Amino acid sequence: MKIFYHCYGGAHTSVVCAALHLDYLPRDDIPEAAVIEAIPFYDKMEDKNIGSTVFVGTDEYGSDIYIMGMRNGREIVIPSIKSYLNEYSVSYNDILFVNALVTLHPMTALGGMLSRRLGFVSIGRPLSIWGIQRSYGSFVELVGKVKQKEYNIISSP
Amino acid sequence: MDTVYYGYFPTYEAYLCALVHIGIDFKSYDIYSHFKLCSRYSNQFGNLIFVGLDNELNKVYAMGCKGFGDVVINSQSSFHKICNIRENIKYIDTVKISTSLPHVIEKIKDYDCLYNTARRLFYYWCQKTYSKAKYFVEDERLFISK
Repeated sequence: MKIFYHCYGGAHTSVVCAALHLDYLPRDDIPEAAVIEAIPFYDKMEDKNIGSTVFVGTDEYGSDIYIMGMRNGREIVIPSIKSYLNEYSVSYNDILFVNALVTLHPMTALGGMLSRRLGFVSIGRPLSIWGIQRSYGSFVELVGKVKQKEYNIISSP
Repeated sequence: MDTVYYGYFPTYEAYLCALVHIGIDFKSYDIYSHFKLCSRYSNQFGNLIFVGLDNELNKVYAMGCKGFGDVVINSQSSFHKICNIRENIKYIDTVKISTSLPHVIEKIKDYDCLYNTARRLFYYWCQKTYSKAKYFVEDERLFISK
């Protein structure tokens, strides 16, 4: 199956969730700022590419993990993808969209805006990481639920 | 190559351009049944609405994206690659011929006392936009064929 973690810009919370899913980040400890900054694609998505999917890796169940940004339009973007796949007779039963914005810390939002939209990377990136560290437990919980759901889907006949 | 006309609403500029593209003539078209369709499906944001086949038997769609046209196109293009979809798609933004009148019509059409006004405004909008849509679609088709 294919799992898509999506957030506003596809640069912060979705990247952290995907990294947790693929065990690039520890689940029992809050990682250092340098570790979060070193995650591939962290704080990298360009504004013009929002909506594009980025393949991050394959997990232990063989599922492909992707990240994407949807701005505030997930009520439009997700139906548009499903409608598109439907139109070209592609089944979307094995596609799972996960909203990684449910645990957004205000500092991550502020840092993300400063870094991605206004170009103040040196101020925005540390702020976004600080926010990620504050809400790290919520990401671990979210990814745990997703993995459980993935296992249930895969193991069901 | 399939064509998707997109705009803020799926059933105004985008749908009108798609109709022009498949060769529907405004004079032979029941404009009030078009208004009923617009009223009913104007909130189908993100869904591809199949309008018909053009003279080269390519599918023509209308789609409403609110303000998320670029995000929707990026996402659909990504899934095009991920799912190995073979058909090529041309996305055409109808912002060049868009006006604010559809927003007004959408606001007032749900009030019983303003329904007829909305209908008349829609007729006026259709008359004004049809000729623009005709030139717009011709230009786009010429551009595609080049």
